[in-house]
Amino acid sequence: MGLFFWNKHLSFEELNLALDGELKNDRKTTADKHLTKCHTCAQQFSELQNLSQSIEQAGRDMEQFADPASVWQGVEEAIREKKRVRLSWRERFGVSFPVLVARPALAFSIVAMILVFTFFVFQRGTLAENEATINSVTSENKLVMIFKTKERNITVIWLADQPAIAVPPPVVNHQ
Amino acid sequence: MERQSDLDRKLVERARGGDARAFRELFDKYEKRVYVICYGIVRHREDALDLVQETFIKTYKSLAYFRHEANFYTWLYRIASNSCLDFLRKRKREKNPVPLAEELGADPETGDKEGAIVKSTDNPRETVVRKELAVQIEAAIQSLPPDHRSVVLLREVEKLSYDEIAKILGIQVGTVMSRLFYARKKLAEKLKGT
Repeated sequence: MGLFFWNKHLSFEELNLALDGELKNDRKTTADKHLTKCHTCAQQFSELQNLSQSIEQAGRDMEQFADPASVWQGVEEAIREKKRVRLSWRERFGVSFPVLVARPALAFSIVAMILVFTFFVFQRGTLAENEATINSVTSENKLVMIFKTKERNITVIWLADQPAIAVPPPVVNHQ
Repeated sequence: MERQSDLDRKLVERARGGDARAFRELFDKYEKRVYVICYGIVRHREDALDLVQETFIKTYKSLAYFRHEANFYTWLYRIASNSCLDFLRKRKREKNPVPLAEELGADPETGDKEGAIVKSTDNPRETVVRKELAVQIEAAIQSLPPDHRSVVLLREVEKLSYDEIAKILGIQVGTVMSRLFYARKKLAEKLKGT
């Protein structure tokens, strides 16, 4: 390695590292010292510097061909689209506050569902490994069912029209 | 630099919360730099502009996943360079790139650079020399493989460290060094030969 002997020429890799400021401590000191004394290496280093500056300048000249206005237009549309998709989710599930105020029955159903869900979450510890519970409550002609197992810790809630048939028994064994 | 990254962090947080103006600020700050990277890799202005747009849209949609483990621009440049390299893999548009000579206003047929719009300097002779050099550099850069071009641009134009370039391109620091040194050697040879 040339860097360890100040009187040997720097390799192309070492010149590049020096140019990019990637040489540290002793290696940097040795390279800097060598470049002040060796005309050949100093010449090569200077050529690399010029090349680097020319590429940088060419890059800066390219910047003027960027077209922020037209590019932003497309980006802005995508942002609007993303926001619109978010809103449609709210609309889809009908959970916005004005809707709840306008429909007390729906609000009551949701509150009842949350209360039942919370109750069974706190009851989780009483289930055996292979047991599952199905519980149901009815409200405003709607049926809320909760299916729960300890092993998988899954709780599923759905809202459906009340069926004409009887609800299954509350405790079910898998095996 | 620390202040810049703090500012970016705040803007990212605001944009994440749905503030489009904050994202616009990030866009204004980095759009030109992203364009240089995209153009540098794909060598086609319209494609580069499309890729800049794609980069910012992807960035906006992925803001929720950005963890501030790296600088925002490192993440942004990574999205840009990946988009460009994917684009080239899919489209193989390099067959007919628009050379920088044409971009700069030179006649594409004759290469006459009289009308070129490289920023003028006070010294007319210097301006002419710069125009010629820009065209030569364009030709030299174009001769490099796309993955080498991206390394050269990130280093020479963006002045990023080897470590940052490695993170952006998802490669080893040793690979950054070998690509950069190879590219510089080739560019120097090309420019000496013209």
